[in-house]
Amino acid sequence: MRKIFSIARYTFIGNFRNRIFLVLVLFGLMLLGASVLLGLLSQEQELRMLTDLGLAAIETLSFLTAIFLMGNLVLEEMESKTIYLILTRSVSRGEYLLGRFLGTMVSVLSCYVIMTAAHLALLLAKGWSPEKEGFLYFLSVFMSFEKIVLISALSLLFSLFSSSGVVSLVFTIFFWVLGHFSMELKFLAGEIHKGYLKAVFKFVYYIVPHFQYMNARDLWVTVADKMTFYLVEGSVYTAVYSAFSLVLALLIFRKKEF
Amino acid sequence: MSGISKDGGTARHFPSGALYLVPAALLALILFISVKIESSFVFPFPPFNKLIFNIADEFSALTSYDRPLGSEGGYRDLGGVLIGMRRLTADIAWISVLQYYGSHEHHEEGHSHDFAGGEYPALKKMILRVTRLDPSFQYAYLYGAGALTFGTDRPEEAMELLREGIFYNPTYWRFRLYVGAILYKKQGQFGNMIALLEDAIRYPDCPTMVKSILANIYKEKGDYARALKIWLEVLDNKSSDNWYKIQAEKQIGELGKKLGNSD
Repeated sequence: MRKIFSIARYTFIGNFRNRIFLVLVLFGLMLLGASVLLGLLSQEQELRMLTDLGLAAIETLSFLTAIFLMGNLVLEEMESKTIYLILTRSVSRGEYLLGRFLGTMVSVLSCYVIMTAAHLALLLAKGWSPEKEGFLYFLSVFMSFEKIVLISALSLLFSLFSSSGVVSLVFTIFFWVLGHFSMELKFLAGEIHKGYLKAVFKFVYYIVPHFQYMNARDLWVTVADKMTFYLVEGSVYTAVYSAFSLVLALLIFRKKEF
Repeated sequence: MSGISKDGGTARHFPSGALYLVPAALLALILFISVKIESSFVFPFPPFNKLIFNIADEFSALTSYDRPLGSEGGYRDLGGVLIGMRRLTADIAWISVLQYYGSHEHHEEGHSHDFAGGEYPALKKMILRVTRLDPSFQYAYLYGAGALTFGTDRPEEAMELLREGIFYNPTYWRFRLYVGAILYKKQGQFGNMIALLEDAIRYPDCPTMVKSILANIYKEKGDYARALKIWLEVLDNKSSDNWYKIQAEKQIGELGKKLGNSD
């Protein structure tokens, strides 16, 4: 366990040396611009729009940060051969991979928390009432991060089997879209009358990560009476799917030759 | 070329066969959870084929200058749906509605209408575009119903909008209040309509536009005191849009004079 934490710490520090925090500057500028613009354009829906835009921006920037970091996490070290320095010591590949994953997730989480704090400060300054929508807000923030964890685990898996950062990025983005579109896949399966096509759609529907289960940010008031469902079942789903992706990544990494 | 052993520096690992069982078991668990969640998960949005993409097609015969502002680019909405951002996409589409309803309609005769003074033929579809993206956007239904009934005098379209609003938000009873007001307007029962609108404006989610409509009705009826009170409330309300605040100031001055109160 100590080795995992050491690798996670080294990954975390490395990410910040690589100026991951620039994403925070980008977010800050976007929030400032949005607050001025939406104040002028949105009439009486400024708070709704600021909430939606902020939550979407936090998730998107975290998603992009996570997939770029995960996509290059091991590949970069393999190319620069620095991976030898670690794996020739008494560190197993499992410990190395898990440590790198955790370190990256902590880096993304720290940016995520800062962005959320900045967003909350802006909302409160604009007169947002936490009593009314506070719980929904924090549920959305929590569930959004679950999505980031899941897609990060998938991204790591893709980066290991594709051996190319670009291919891994494309796969990850494809699954991100497919995961959000999964409910539409179910609808399409219902519309199709050919048996084999219907079966294909159904199979894809069950196997792709269902990001809509964690999309409280988008479902918003409609989840108000189903909080427990989202918290418990969504979190279990994220945990199992992420574990599945990480175990597959480990299996591939065990076979990898450098 | 193998510079390093497959197991890193240590030989600690599971027997290979056992390790392959783990993802298989996890996959089975994922399928089990998916099926279980699916049985209780209600997706509250209409399917993507109900989204409204092609509002501009109806107006393709017009010059680009005369086409409804913001009616093009509906296919961009699909991008928002694909990345799970229906609410944000609905917000962007809502800004288009506001820009359209605030635009000056241009006519061949060369004159144009003031803000919200035109016919806005695409208004219902523009609002439906927003509400199909996010059916829980109740304010859009209320605003749309008010604008279509009292702004453009198309209560039938407003009723269609509210019918859809009630379908997606069956517990949001305020839509029924608006339905009642529209029905009374159609039947010419203005007293009953005003009573319902009075009820509607008591709630904080009532669009300022509806308040301004009621104030104008009172003004036309000669009840300047009540009209003045509503405009004062609009002016005091922090969330009122600037345009309405300017209107409120104008109306307050005018009504004050009519009431013989120059203050």
